[in-house]
Amino acid sequence: MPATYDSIATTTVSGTSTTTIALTSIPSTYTDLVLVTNIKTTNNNNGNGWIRFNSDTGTNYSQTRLYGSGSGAGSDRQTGTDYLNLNVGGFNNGILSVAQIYSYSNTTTYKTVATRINTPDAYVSLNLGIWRSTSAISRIDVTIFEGYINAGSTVTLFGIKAA
Amino acid sequence: MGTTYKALQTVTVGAGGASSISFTNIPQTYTDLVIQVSARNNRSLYVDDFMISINGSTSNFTYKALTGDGSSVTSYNGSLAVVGVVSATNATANTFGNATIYIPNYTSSNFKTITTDSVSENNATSAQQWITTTLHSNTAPITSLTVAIGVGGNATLWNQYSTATLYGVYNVDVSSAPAAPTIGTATAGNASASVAFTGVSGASLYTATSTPGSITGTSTTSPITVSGLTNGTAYTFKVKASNPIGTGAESAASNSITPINSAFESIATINGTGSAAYVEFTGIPATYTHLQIRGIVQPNNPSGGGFTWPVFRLNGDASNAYSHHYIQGNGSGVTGSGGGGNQTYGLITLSTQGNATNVFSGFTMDILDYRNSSKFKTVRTLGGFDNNGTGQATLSSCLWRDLSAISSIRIYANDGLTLNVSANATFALYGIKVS
Repeated sequence: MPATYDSIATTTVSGTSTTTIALTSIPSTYTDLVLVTNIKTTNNNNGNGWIRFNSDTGTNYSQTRLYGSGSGAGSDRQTGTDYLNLNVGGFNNGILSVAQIYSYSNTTTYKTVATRINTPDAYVSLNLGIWRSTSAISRIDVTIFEGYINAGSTVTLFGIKAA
Repeated sequence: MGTTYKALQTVTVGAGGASSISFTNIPQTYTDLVIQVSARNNRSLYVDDFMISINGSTSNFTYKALTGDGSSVTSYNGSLAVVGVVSATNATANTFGNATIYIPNYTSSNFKTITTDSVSENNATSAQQWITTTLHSNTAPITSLTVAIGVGGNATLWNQYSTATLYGVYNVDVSSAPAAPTIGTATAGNASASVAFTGVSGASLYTATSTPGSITGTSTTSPITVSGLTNGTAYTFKVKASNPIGTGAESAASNSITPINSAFESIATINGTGSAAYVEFTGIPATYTHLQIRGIVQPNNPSGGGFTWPVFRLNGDASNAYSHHYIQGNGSGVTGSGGGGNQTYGLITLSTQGNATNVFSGFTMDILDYRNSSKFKTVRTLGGFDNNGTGQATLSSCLWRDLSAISSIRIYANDGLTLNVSANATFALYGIKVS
């Protein structure tokens, strides 16, 4: 059977002034995308980050979060945002997130994103997000709210192709 | 031209004798093989068996023989690799028995049947004639043969001047080398490639050759597997056909492929139609370590609700061998956490009820160690949906208390509704390997 889990692009931050990592020209030949971010920022207080698709800055994003803080569990929601929150975080130990972007090239459905986020300093969570657009995703921007992305941070995009 | 009958290799035993006669690197371009034997054993008191070894093995043989010794007729059978006898010819100078060993369809993937006529006449009472049928319960094409002489599997020597000749028989009427095949699609594997082609008449063997490297693979049918490639290197392939007359021209070059060591492979995909009662993966190969199902799903009537709790059954098991737990958040709190034992299904908890147009739940379902016959099977699922003000995020786990390897997975609705997954819904099954 053919291989179906391909690395499309990998970026490792090397400078000290990076605020956005752009993954462009994403081919439409896969079924799903998996975006793995392993990021630490220079701002440990307010370094949250987000992802946008196809440079869309409209309020076309929303998500529902289920989280555990280590002492309790909760759920919250963001609606009408212009990004999907990755909680990329200025946390001391950084953050690892794995976003499953389902049927990203389907031009009939909105795009559902399930993101598992591990923040050793804060919580573990599952974010179910949606981008209300029927456009195929060809670009993903990973951006932080304040500060810079530390050198050594990585963003990798994989493509999964169904038979 | 009719049947081609060609001597391929001849062995003559020299001074001092030989314990066996072997043929190696047997070409795969013929339909049948024949061994003509003229043999003399080195014992004067015994009738010795002809013993055959195929591809270095004397296992998985059975035989039946009809024999006559001039005064009576006897039938034998056994589980040895016997294909005939050579009598006590050493008792009489210059006397050799002979045998014709016929092996049809030696390149096939079927068990091999061997037919032998053997006679020994030495003007003595130990002379015999055997008609033997031998079955080798092995599907590998024959690439080497060894014939020995022995009693009950105990080897003795072939005397000097004994000879054996291997012939290739080609039963197709050909008068020239075959034409060039039509190249098909090459597909990458792990350090290998599968090269498809359309065959031509009169061909008995096809060879695919790589560029670069000139690495070859052969087969009697399409596709050809070419092994020994370097992962990460791009290759194209050409295919040529051969028969006993010769080798024809090469095909055009295939598409370029790059072999990789893949640990994640697509097995099958089911797309929603809006009318199915369930989706089911069957015939799941037992060649992976873990399974993963990924997809998006929506009820066929999003404004009116639909199935809330997609569930699954493994191998069609509807007994109470399942247990599951889940946790769920709706944006304002943890709204559901529960589970149960002795259930008749496993839970996926996608929470699709209330989905709007174009809004699909996404899910990833991992089935770990799915073919381990020493473990119950653990399944975990993450998924849910968001609709800009509504939505749920869910995590669930399930245990199927069964040691069977999982070969089928059915996903359906547990609340009396049919699944009715809409168009654009997909369920894709993947296999994950651990090297």
